[in-house]
Amino acid sequence: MPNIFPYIPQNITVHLGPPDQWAENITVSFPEYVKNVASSEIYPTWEPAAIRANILAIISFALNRVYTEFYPSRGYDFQITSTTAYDQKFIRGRSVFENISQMVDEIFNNYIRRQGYVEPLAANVSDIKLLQHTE
Amino acid sequence: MSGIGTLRVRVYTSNAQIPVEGATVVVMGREKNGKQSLISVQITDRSGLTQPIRITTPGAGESTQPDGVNGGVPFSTCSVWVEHPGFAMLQMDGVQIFPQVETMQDVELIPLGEGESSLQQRGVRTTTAQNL
Repeated sequence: MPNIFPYIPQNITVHLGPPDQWAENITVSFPEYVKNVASSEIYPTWEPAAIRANILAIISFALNRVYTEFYPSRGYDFQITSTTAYDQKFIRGRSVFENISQMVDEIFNNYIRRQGYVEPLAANVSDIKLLQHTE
Repeated sequence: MSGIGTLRVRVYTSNAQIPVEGATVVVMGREKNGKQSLISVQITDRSGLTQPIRITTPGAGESTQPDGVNGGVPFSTCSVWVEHPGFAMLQMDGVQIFPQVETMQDVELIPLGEGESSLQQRGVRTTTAQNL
């Protein structure tokens, strides 16, 4: 495995709507983005292991969007949208939960990849939901 | 079964996150009959922070084994209003409070131009529930 790491952005630009519709773009720090999405998608009262798994998926998905230049390569001036139909749920100005915030700071920069690949996996949060239901 | 969660509000301005001291923070809950009830009124300190506010929530087991109280959601919600002269007032609706979890609500106030009043310029941010 070569020692190459994907670019971890300091900030991420989020489009507050579907990609092909007009909406505001806002730029937030990458950890702030992850904390916001995790607080918007899951409950902070879940088991720490379940929260951790979701955070890893959220980080990996966002890094994949940045790494593959998914939206810029299609001519858009943002890196990810706030809509769950396309990406992950981001709510501007929402509150974050202390335990999720601490966990994001702890595991930050870890991400999921396939063995032998550097590319962050476009992990889907709904897959994790299925796993939890079948456990 | 019910629990207690806490809410802290941090008020700042600009991307540099300069704390706003002396902002009025009002936290309102909603009673069963739909009326709003006052939970707390505080002034932010030098760090732009309020003291933790204790808020009643559904029981801790509701997020894993819901028994359908409170509309089946494991959290309670409140509204937070933040006002400071010289800044546009900001209102946050649907702020979620979970049992035994501290919720941190960051509030970025935008400075106003000459002759504008903080009460006339009001931004509203609404948090929607998790889709679970």
